[in-house]
Amino acid sequence: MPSRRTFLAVACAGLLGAGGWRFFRARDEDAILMVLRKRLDYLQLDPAGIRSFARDLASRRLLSRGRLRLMMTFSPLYRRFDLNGQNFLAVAIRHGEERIVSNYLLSSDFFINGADQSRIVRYLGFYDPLRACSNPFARLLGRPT
Amino acid sequence: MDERSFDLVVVGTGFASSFFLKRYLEHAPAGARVLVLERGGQDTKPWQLENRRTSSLAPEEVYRNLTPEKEWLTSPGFGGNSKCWWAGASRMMPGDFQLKSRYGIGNDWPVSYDDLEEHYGVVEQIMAVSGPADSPMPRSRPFPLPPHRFSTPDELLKERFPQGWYQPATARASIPTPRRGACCASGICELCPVDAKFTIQNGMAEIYDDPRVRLLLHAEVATLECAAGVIRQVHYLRDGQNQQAAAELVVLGASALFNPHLLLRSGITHPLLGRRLHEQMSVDVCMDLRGVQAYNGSTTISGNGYLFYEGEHRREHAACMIETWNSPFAYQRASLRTERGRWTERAYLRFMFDDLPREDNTITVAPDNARLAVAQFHGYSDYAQRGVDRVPKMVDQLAQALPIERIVSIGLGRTTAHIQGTVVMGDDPAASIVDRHLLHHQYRNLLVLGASAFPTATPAYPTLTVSALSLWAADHLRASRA
Repeated sequence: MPSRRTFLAVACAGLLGAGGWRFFRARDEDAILMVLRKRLDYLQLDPAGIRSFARDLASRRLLSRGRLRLMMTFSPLYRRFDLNGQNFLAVAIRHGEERIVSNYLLSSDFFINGADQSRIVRYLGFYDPLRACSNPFARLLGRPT
Repeated sequence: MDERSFDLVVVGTGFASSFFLKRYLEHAPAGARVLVLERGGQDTKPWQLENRRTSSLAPEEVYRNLTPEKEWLTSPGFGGNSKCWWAGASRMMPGDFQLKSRYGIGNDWPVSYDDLEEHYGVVEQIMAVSGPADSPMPRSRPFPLPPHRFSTPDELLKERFPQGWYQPATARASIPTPRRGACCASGICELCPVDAKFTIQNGMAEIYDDPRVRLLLHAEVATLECAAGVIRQVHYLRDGQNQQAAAELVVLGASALFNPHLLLRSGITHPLLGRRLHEQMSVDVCMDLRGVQAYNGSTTISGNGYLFYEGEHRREHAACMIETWNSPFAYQRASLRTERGRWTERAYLRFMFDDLPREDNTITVAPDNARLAVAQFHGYSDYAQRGVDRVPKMVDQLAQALPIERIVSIGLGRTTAHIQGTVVMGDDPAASIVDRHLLHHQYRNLLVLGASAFPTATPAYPTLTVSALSLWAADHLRASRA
């Protein structure tokens, strides 16, 4: 019969091993997809489009790979809780989510179509501010507001 | 005249050099000979867009930063920092020139707002600056271009603080000009995809085509040769060879990083030379709004707040100018929100405070490689810090106009890209290196132009003042020679 101490040690080792396995197996694209599905659950996202976007964003290395993997490691918790607080962890996660969502929405036809939530949102190609006058929100002089 | 002998040798092709040269050529004789030495290459706009950077020279090729947590932005090459600037073109306020006499703080400038007012207007014309009719500082003429359109948060702030919030004075064109497109708030001004901002390349390149001017790119100035109180020759490196040019007049316009570096390399000394390196201290505040859509102005910075700028508070703490950042991308914290329908209910403001220069913030020459300038920064002044400490109270005051739901983040900016100090101007040769006309106190055929001459920082953007001072210096030179 194993002692209580041995049991705890084995359990901790098992948890760490499982966590480590999840961490190293995690893919950036999966974390990006998870964020989009959670935060834009009120939109109809074109499945192939968001996969392409996730690949494009991951390949640009704009986001910390370690953080994305951590999110995947704890994905059951992430999916379950809303993290709306002002503590450091919640703020950091929210900032990462906003960067992903911002890049996706700007890369899609969503704002081009007047933010119409009844339409399927389609990915157009990774957003590039160097593409002339692609800011969908600007109210330029000489154009109606 | 010898092939290597010139009436004028200019070092650098940025704002300071180009505005001086423009005015100089307007009155120079047909036979005048001018040599311009530029360390970098042409770095054309197509090259910049293709390579997604503004200079073919990497920062580490030109200077070493011993305190990398404090950034100093520079863009060597034809046009200098006009390539990478974000085209903020505000004037300084009258009180900025008189900090000591008005508020008992820092130093007075040896020039006044009134001295520069006419020159400010000329520079605004050349740059085709856009701005409001109700500017916060006295003006003798209107802005050449109409004001940009506010974002909705700016409109609310203007309504609540009519004497404190204005459309920005900016060289990001509000309507198309013969040479530039209209700004469409791309949020990536250093590489503006529609060439809407004024640059030396799109606005003044013709002065370098003048038959009196010989422009040498990839010409790295090494030293100035001095004798009997004048600069005799400029030594430079080009095509791997050391070369010299003799000059009647030498103008340094190589920025506050490289002007002192060149003087120090040349053995020109002064207790203050290379000291007082500074720029504004900035704080970025991102806040969520309730029911107000933002990011909808017509330009990347859509408003400037002057509520906390001029006034008796400057006796106690730094003055502040506020920017409304109007793009949800391209910089650290600004982004869209994720909640349904509330994507743009967010404001991102930058608070910029003047700094009192500290003598321990320096530019020196790298001991192991004299071609490199070395920047060392020990911190901002307590005066600037006291201003920054007031940001929460300032946000509370702005909340009278903005329905702030929560503060998302508050963080110190790493740079305002406004490098100043290091070759300070003044009337007293013991306490300054150049005089009020930017002539070196000791070497009277040497002008040192640019923000290196600024005795103090101000919350305002420095470029318009840099350019106006160059016109002022050129005018004085002509008058004194006449």
